[in-house]
Amino acid sequence: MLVTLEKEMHSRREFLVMAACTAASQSFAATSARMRRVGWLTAQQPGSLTSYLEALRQGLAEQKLAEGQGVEVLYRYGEDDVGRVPELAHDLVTSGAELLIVQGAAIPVVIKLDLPVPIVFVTSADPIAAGFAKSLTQPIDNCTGVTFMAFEFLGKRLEILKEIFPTLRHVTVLGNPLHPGSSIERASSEEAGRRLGISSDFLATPSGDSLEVARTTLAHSRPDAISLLPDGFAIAHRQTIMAIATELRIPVISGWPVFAQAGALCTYGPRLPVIYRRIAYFVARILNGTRPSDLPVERPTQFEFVLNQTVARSFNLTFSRAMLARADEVIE
Amino acid sequence: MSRSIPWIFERLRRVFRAPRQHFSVKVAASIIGVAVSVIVVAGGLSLRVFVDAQMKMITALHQLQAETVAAGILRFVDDQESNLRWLIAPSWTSSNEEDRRVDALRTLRALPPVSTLRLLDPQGREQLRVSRLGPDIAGSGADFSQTEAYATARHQGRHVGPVYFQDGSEPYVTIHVGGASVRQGSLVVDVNLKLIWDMVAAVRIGDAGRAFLMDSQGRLISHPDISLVLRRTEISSLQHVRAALELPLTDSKSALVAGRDLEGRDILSAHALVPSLGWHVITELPRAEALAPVYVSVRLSIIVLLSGLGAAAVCAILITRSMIRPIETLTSGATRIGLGELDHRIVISGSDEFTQLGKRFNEMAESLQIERATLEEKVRLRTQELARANQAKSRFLATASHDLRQPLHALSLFVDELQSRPTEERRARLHDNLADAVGRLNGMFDAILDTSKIEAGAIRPALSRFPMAPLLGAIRKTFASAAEAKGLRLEIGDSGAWVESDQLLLQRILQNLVSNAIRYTISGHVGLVCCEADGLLTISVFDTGPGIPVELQSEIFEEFFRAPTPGQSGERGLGLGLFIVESFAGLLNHPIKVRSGPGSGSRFEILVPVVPAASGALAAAVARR
Repeated sequence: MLVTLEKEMHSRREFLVMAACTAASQSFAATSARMRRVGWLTAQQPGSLTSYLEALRQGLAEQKLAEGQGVEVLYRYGEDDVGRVPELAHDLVTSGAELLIVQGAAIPVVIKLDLPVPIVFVTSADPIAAGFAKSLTQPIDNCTGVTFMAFEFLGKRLEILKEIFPTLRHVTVLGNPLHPGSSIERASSEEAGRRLGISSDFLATPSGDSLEVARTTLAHSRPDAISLLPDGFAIAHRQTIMAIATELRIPVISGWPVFAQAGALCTYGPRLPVIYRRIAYFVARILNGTRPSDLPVERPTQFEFVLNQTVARSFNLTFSRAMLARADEVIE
Repeated sequence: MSRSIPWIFERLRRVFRAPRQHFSVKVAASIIGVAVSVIVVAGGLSLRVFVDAQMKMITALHQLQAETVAAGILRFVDDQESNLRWLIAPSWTSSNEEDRRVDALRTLRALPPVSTLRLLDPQGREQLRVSRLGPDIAGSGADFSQTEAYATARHQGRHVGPVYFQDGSEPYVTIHVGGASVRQGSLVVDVNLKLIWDMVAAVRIGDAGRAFLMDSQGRLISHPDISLVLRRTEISSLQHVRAALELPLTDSKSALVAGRDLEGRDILSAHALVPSLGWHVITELPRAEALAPVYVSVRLSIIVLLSGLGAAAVCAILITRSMIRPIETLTSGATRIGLGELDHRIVISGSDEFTQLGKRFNEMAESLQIERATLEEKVRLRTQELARANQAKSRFLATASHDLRQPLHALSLFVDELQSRPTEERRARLHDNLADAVGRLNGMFDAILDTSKIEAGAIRPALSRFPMAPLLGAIRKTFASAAEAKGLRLEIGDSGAWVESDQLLLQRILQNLVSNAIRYTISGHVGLVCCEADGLLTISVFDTGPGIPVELQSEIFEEFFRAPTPGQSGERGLGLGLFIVESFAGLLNHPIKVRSGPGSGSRFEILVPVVPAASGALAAAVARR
């Protein structure tokens, strides 16, 4: 009798558990059916960041927020016009974006708008110098993100150039002045240059049109090398920039492999896909209710050094053993 | 369950409601009591054993997990060391500077957590520095030889420095790797501990459990939530963290520590020390999850207990009902039977003892019923008998007084006639008549006397052996005149047989029989014959009288019975003759039979045991008597 009763209880409990599970899965289905909207905002053109956005989507999928299933990403591009950023930001918020991922030059603009949604920034700059955070562990209100630490790499890139070209004296840093924190990068670069006995100057290229002016300037100044600031602008105009450098036979060093593939002699910088994947972590945490200020700004931990052998040959260069030992990839 | 409990109580209440049902209360209470105590004791013991085992298992499991993580962390540091040590394996020479640089760069590329690598010469001065972000510097000559870390690395092979936080965020540790020989150089590397996050985050402890790593000051080195590490969250105030930090370094085996995690949830924590680094691995598992199996078994035990209670209550009710119902039926049935309803029958279905008891009750009632009916019949018969006897006595008194008055009346007439001086001849006849009347009175009183003696049980037969012949002679002499007077032929047969009997009583029997025969026979003859067979002498007295109807033959031996047809002379006896005959025959143990029918006369037969004739002298003596 007891056994029967117990059995009955057991089956009853099973039933309850099943019922609870059904209810839970239904409620889960209900939540997952409710699409979370996230905005992506940059002042650049769409083409410049395509491959990195793929990494972001991968990251979202890893965080169980696969695009179209858990989360819907609304993409907005300024098409190289920072002036459009406020309008796009407001548009994202009214479209129901619960969070904005803001990249590059758009970041300070969006922060100034003081929107009611959290912001995850993706910046090359020093977030402290740029005013996005008081320290790495203390981002400003409703704001956090990742930094590429571009300024830290400028010195390292000059060091690499000096090792390849021991006679190196003069380097022109080419970049978009709209890029936040570019002045810091410039200062950092100048300091490293002094240590290595290299003089450097900054050539601002605020738009695609200014590249023609840059060509004239470079042809006149003839620096020993060009250090190209890696950002969305540079990616967008990489072919033009590389064409100018090749034409003037000036070697180019930059931060991301995409430039080595486009014709730069070498690149050294963080692994961008890793960082873009990491953005998904911030998105997931914030959507799950963590306050952005509780999430410290993260720096890259993985870096890559890419050499372009073809370009080296065009300069009659042979990479030393030390260079090759350091390289993560050598493009033939 | 919840629905059936009030139902059971309701049943119990109804069963136990009546005070007369104490028995059922006792039965039910003892069944429930036994069941409950067995379940409680067994359940409690098994639960305790189970919970102990469960707690041991949970503790062991978590301890093991913590130790596994600790071992993984140590292996990570060991791996870094072994991947670095080859750089200083060869003896330090100043000629292979370029090779050292290439090897250092290659190593730096292969070990992502290492951010800066310094090579020191055997004197402890920095000769090469390669870095991921900082500048590469050759031959800085910075002197490490005076540092404690350098000394330890030289002496013990490795020194792991304190954890520090780069730019106030990322946890780093500086590891010195020293060569064993004085000719070997040594290494100083900065390791970014953020990169061991995967190892800690990959640890799965239950569903919601986690593990984290902290240094000996209680600062987080790695945590599944990396933001806690990067924010340098203070955790040493947590109870279980403090307990782990205060534990002696040698004590690795410990029980689970209860506490609250950073989110304030109740957790159970295990702890393992990372050997030689002084770091601690702490696991946290929500208390509810850790103890879930225990709670399940406790709940199950309670359910079993309640089920047992319910089952016992139901059993108790069923058993009580099955016992009380028949007892009630028996009680009410017995009460009705006791009140005289003997035709009431107790109906209990089944085949148990109660049914048997009901049957016995019914049988008892039935036999009581039969007994009562028989008794009533007996009483009726006896009453009837008494009435008849009473009637007979009244009749007897009437007849007896009438019959006694007849000779008395005759006597008074004769006395009157004597006073009138009759003639001699007349006087002689008067004398005869007087004698006759007196004789009749005598006879009547003899009969009455005999009867009263019989009824008083005052007659004791005196058995003796004697010949029949004198007896027969006496009878012949007694009745010759009476028979002659009625014109009857009296035939008394002879017999030479000796019998064993009471001579006087036998004579009285035969006299009564012959006297009756003469009295009721109008014409023909009256006879007495003896016939010996099989050791018995059959003495038959017969007549040619009116006979006795068969239906009256059973009554003729009763007191005061008199045949409805009187004798020709109208003379009737007192109705005691045959009663005396039967009574005496009974006393003497002589069987007596009657054969008769209306118009065919009557024949009485009495059987007397025959004995061998005695010797002559004795015979003569008897004959004389």
